[in-house]
Amino acid sequence: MVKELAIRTCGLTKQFEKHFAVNDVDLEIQAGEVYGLIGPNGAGKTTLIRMLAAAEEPTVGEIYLNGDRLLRDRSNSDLKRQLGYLPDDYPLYEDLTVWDYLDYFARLYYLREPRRTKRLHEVLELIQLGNKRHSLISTLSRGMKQRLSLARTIIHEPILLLLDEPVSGLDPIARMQFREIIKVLQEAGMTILISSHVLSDLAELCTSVGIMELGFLVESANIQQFYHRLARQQIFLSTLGSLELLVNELKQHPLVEDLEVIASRNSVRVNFSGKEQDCADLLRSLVIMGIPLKDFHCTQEDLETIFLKLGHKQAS
Amino acid sequence: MLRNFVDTVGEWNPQLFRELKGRFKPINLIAVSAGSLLMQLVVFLFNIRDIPGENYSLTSGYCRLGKMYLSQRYALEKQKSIINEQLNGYYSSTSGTHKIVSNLQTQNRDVQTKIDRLQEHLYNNEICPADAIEWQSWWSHHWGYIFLCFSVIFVFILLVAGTYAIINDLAREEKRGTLNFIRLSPQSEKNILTGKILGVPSLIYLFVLIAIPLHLWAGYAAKVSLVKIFSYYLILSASCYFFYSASMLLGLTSRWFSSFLPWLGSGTVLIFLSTTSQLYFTSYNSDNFLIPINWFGLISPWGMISYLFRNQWFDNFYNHSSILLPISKLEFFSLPIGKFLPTLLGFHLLNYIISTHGIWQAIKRSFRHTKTTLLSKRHSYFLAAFFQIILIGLSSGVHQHPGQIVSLVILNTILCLVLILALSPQRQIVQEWARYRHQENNVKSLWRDLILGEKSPVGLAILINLVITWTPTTLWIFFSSREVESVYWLSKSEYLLGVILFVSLVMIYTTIAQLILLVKSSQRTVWSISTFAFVVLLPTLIPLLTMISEGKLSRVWLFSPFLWIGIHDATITEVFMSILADLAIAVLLNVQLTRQLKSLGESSSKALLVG
Repeated sequence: MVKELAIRTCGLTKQFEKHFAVNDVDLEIQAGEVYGLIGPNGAGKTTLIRMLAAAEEPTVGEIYLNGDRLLRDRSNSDLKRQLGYLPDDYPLYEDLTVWDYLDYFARLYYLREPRRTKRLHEVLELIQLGNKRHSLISTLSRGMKQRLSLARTIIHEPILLLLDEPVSGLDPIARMQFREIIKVLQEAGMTILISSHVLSDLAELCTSVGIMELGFLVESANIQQFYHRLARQQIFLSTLGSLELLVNELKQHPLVEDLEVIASRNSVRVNFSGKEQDCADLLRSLVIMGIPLKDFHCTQEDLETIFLKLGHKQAS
Repeated sequence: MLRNFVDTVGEWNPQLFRELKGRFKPINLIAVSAGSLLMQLVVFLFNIRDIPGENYSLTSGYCRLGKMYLSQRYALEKQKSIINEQLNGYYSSTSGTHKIVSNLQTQNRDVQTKIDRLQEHLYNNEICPADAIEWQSWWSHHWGYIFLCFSVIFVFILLVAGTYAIINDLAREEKRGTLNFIRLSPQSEKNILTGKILGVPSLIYLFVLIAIPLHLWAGYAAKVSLVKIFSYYLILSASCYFFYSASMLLGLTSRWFSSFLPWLGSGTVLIFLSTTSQLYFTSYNSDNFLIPINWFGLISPWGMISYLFRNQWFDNFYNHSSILLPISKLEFFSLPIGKFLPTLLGFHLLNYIISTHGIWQAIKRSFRHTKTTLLSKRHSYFLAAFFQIILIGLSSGVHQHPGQIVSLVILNTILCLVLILALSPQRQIVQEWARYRHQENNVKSLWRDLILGEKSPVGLAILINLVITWTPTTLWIFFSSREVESVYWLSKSEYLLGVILFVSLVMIYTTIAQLILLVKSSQRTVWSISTFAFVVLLPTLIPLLTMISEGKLSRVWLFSPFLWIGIHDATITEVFMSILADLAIAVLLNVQLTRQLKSLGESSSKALLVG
């Protein structure tokens, strides 16, 4: 069964002067997906997300959220209740406490008692700021403020979450905490569009990926299809014996495309064009040759390698 | 209790909840309450500083004995003058009057002795006995002063401090970027900004609310009727809503010099209030309200306050009951609005409601679309029509005033210049219109788009506004009994030529403003306003500064928006030549504008292929 589309854009374009920040983008994201948007700085990711969040007016093009057209000259009250948007900067009211801040936004999104208090507790527990609920926002650390911003974004239980560079500037622990929260939200059934430069995070979280360059959406696919189409299979081998012998044997194998010697670890990384059965055959042949293998495992190129390999380095 | 109140309010308006939460902190509440009580104490003590004491003089205003002596002296002086008149009569006659004259002289001496004795009593630092002091009257008058003091202080505090608070809050939110989150919430603009109007000055409201009981008591003790007191509160609330809405619009539309803006806004309100208070409290018996420029007087609360509390103000200070306040003469299409309290109050409130509604149309646009024009073309037509009704209505009373037509023409001129600035779209908007108009789903006709479209250039809309503005005025001047000569002594034909010249000049201004807004510079708005001001002010300032009212240089007026001054001295040929020159310039500028619009609307591929 085909899932409903949470986001659909048709010919979405944003032009500043003669410069196209977003150019004729047709984006489709299915409900329940975590969609990672990657691309160099200035590729148009933020502008695209701002248009989806109704924070920016498109020059031309249409946006449909869960099948309903987003029109900028109307208040879009119902659509906005379905949306949660976290921009890359996250200004906060420093004069309020954590609880009052979330309470204010819950009221802005029409949450009524007793549901509101329950939701506030749930969200505070999720972002692990329950013990800070009576603290003034000005006293929070950067990571806490980032989590509080996320809490503000999800307080009204949106079904569509737009996160623009949510982990930029966070330390590894804060990033991990943030990742865990996103996973929980995904499990709760939210559709999430996330742009980030930390591609390892996206690889862990996303079910689909899109690449933007020069304002165009140049790639957009399910992550499995994406790896299948663009990621080469790699085999990592280590030997206790002669590295030279291993390299010679590998070079003669017809399915080995190229290899990289890691002399310090007496290892080789091989780009391999065969299937799983071919991997097993290679392993068997090397063992028969008497090469004392210490390690032999198949991997795939990661998202960062694929992105760099595709040469998407051109900002718009 | 306070927490419950804030919570309940928050259910109704979340923005108000946020503003109250941020401001209603114990330290703020204590400081505001103490400040308000201190203010009340100072006002009270200041007004009772001359309370009658042990050394209360016999000649002071509230000594019954002193008044009695004074009335006796008055009667004696009257008697003396009668005796003197009789004596003068007898002196002129010749005989048989010696005895009568002698009697009269004796009477005169007696009267003089009594007067001297009374004078001695009155002016020899005689003290008024405690039981002769008119305490009731003293307190009644002084409660009146206290009541008036509070009434004036409330206006200044609420309007000046409130305006500052609102503009400052918006500038801070805009600077931090927090306003964007509120914009993205599903709440309507009206809810959010009403919450701001009620919440941002909440501590100022509290300051005033704490003083209300004493104000009410002072009014009651001074025998001011409750109807008048509540009419005052009504006018005060309406003026707050008007001025706060205007501040909100200023805060939302002016993103430059944000730190200076609150001072600019509240300073302007302070100057406006000070000027209008002078106008309506001190210039009684004048015809101020017979000229339409006094629409500005209708948005100041002073006119109404002077009308409501005239007994407290004039009777107490000037002991003058026959004063006719300028606002009492207010007429609207010959209806004597100023004669009765209900009509005057209703007219004021209606004016506030319509004006505030107009401001809110601009606020809603600026809040959602930060780069859009201040007014839509449709709203501008309504605004122009509303002003014509108000201005002609205020000018067409039974009473005529030489300033009526002059101020009507000046106000219409200013209105047209303001409309150019409020309607001209920015480069980005015009570019999108020129490039993508044909791609829109429901493509409207070009004419319809130029008349009503959101993104189209402003030329045609200004032309329509000129028609709306000048047609009723011209018809009114031509068909009423008024002498058009009161517009700088013009004949009707000179006036008509002036209108044509003005229209062609405004078309030049409009095209220049639009052309500069299309310039590729981040400072294009500043450039546009500066050039606009330069083109408008230069021909106005040259004759003003050189003080030349006659001769060749006075023709410079023909190129200023106040061309009416120069048109009388100019010959018909000169006026016609000016019209032709203006029209030629307007056509040339519009050709250039069309060329620029075509260039902006070109697709990138076409630019590539051509380039």
